[in-house]
Amino acid sequence: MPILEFKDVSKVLKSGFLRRPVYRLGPLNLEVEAGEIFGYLGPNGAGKTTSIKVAMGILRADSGEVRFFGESARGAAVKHRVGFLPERPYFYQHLTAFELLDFYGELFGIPGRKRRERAMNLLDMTGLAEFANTRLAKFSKGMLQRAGFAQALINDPDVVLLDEPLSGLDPTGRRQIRDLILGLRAGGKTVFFSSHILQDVEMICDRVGILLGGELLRAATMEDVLSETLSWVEISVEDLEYEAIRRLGLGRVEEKAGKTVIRLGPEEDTGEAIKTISGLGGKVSSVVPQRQTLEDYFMRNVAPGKAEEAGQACPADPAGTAREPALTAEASAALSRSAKRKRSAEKVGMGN
Amino acid sequence: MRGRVPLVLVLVLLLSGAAIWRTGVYLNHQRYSGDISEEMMYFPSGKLTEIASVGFDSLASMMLWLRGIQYYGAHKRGDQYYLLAEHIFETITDLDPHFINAYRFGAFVISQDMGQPVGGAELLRKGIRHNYESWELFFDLGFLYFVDIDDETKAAHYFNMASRFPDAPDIAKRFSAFAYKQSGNYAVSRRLWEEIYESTSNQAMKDNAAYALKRLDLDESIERLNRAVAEYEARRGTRPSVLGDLKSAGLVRAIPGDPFGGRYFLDHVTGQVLSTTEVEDEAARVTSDLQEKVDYYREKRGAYPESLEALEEESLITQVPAVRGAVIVYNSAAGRVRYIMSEESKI
Amino acid sequence: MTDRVLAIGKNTFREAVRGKLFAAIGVFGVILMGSSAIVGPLSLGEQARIVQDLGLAGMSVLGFMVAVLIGTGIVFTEVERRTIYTVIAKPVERWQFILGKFAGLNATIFVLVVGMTVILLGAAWIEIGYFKPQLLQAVLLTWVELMVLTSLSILMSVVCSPILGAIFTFLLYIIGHTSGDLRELAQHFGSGSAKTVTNVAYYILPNLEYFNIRSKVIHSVHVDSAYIIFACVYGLFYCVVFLTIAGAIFERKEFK
Repeated sequence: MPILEFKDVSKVLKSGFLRRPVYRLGPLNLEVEAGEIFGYLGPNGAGKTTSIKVAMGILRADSGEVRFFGESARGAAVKHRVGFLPERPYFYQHLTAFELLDFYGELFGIPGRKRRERAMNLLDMTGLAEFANTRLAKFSKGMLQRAGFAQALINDPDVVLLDEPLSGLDPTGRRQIRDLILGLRAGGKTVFFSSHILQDVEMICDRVGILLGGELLRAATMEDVLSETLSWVEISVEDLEYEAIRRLGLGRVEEKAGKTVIRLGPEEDTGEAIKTISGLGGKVSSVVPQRQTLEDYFMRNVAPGKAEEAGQACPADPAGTAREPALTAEASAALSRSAKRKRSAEKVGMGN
Repeated sequence: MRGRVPLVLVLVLLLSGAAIWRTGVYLNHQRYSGDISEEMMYFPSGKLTEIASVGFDSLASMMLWLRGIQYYGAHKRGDQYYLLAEHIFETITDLDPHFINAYRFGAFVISQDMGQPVGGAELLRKGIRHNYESWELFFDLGFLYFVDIDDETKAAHYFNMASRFPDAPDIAKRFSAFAYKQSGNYAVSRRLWEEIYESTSNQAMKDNAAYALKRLDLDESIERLNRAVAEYEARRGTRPSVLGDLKSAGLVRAIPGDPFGGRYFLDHVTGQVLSTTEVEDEAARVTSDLQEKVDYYREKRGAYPESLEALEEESLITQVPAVRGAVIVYNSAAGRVRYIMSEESKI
Repeated sequence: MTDRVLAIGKNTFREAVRGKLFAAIGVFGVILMGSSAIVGPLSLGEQARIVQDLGLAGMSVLGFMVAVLIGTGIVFTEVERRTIYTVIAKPVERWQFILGKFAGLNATIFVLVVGMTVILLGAAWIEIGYFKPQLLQAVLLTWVELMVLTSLSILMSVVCSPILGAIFTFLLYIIGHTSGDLRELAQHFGSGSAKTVTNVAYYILPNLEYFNIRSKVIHSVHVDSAYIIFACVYGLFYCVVFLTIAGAIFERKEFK
């Protein structure tokens, strides 16, 4: 039985004085299995937050149903086993971190001593122990995110829903949260989180759901998605003439910042290309694997008509399409190693 | 679950509504039909109100004005005692000395309704002290002296002063002339009341003026009829037995009905012309007064008095009152006081 | 179940009491009480009355300010700042949330009222020379009135922004105090439409004047305990009505 299930969930969001429909979600059909980390992917405005809000009862679906553990998500009782972290969380400024967790614990009906113990443990786990008695008004954004993470776990839930848990954090912060999520899975919990950055999802998720313009395009394992995202490798070449490089017929050749660069598609063998270039006397000054952003992925995989539609349905998001910083060769190697590891874990049979 | 909830909600709202209604009725009764000591509570002393109003004097005086006219209305329909009226209007004008209408209406109530023209004049003079450019206050003072105090000289004096103001209407001058010329009580009084009726925007005063005009009509008619009766007696040597005789004798063209809907008739006991309206008014007042005293007698002595004379023993009355045109009837078994109109009134 | 309500109530109370507004009003309350000591001697013999008048009226006004200024924002700001998301995600029923807010705000006002009452009783004792427990009757009804206003503010908070809510609540406060008088006036002098309008206002909206027994208490006129009980019941049922409506509206609300 899926631990979280969206069945034919539809929602139309209206806005403005005339209540004009501004945004549509669904019908959404999605299943999340117990014990997996599910990445809910989509550009901003795709409907990820809306889906999560419907699941948590913050919005009401126009039709369809969300179920946790086979029970309707509507009842308050089912929320005892669910944890939730909203996007860009904002908490009661007048409370200290400890008081916040204590308060939420009270709302679950957790008895006093156990509650306080858990609160301290969670603060420890999220690295906020020293700020336990500091008012939340003084917390930085990263600290707030971590506090939010802690409150999502105060009731020791079986499944945790996180809305953009990594957005706006610096690399260290992101690493910390990613590790926390992995820790949750290790503890037997299910994690469902949304993001618009493929990188984050790719690093830790078992399965991925791709949402665009309110529609779920794909739900698949990480492996499948990875192999579909177009990526290419940029080889910077020196000591070789532009024309000569072009005649090699390897990928696409461009001039970039005074250097000649060859773009190799995924089907082309990087190793071979490097050999060929060296054989001709050229020097390969850098090998940089590039992964396209989700946006590019959609642009390529979705028919042009749909792309336009997507463009209309999703409000433009200037911040969302920032490219990830280029990885060095080492990092990219490490990446593929971890991807391989995951794929083998998959094969061992951790759900589909 | 969805269906059940609205039902519970509706029930809760209905139940609450009922509870609110029930308690509201009780509270309303407690609040708005209190006796005089309770009424005092609503009119704190002027000094205190001034201090408490800190900067909102005008507003406070307005609130008091609203309370005041409510007080007036309640008592006008009820016992017609206005004991607090002087206090109320004193306070209002203390708070807001330029509230001209408070002086005017206050003086009106005090002199007309309470029958204390001296008090009314005092109030108007106070108003003049604070507002010596108000022609209205002088005018009202003239009116008061003429109608209530019957001092035409003083009245003329004030009408005259009123007429001196640049914004005073012609009417002030004309009244000044009338008063000096003393061209007959009724005519001037009638004009004065008509003036009030025309010019005031205060509904209560308008109603009062209308009433006063009717009374003037009634008084005038009675006077005319009395003169006709005297004329008849002079000519024929005996009094007429009914007013209709006057008409047959050609002394009057017709016997009018009284302006309040009653009839004029000739009272054989006094030989005076009376109107049923007047008689009923007075009889009702006397009767209810006696009834109160009878009830009081019963409370004290434990039983109804045997006759109305018995009330004299308890010093409740000095003598049993008589009402012209009606007879007071007392039933000692039931302890009820009633009146019966005299025979002549029914003709 | 009540523990959820209490938890939210405790949190609301904490938030209100830790805020600057409450502190300011508290200070103002103390000043007000103290000022009656200054004004008293100036009133030419009415010291005792002034102290009691100022004290009771001040309590009512300040309590009203807390109810309106804090109450009308109490749900709205949670929604606006989205602190409400995490609360909704917990196993808390929507009506428990409203009730909790109500409890917390009431507790806040209660603290204010108690503080001012203590000072009032003390000041009155100084002026009149004896302890006047009757003042507590006036305080009790003042508090019931404040509860009604609190529940009304919370209803406003669910429905509209704090500024609009404050304006409405203030208007209803004024109507609540004058509807009785106005209705009496309309009965005697008014036109048909005036009678209808004032009757409607009078019967539907709470007549807050019922809670005003200040003048009686100050003049040591006896107030029936029956009256006090009826007034409390009247007030409590209005709270029920306002909170029920607030809860029903809040139940259907969605948060973008």
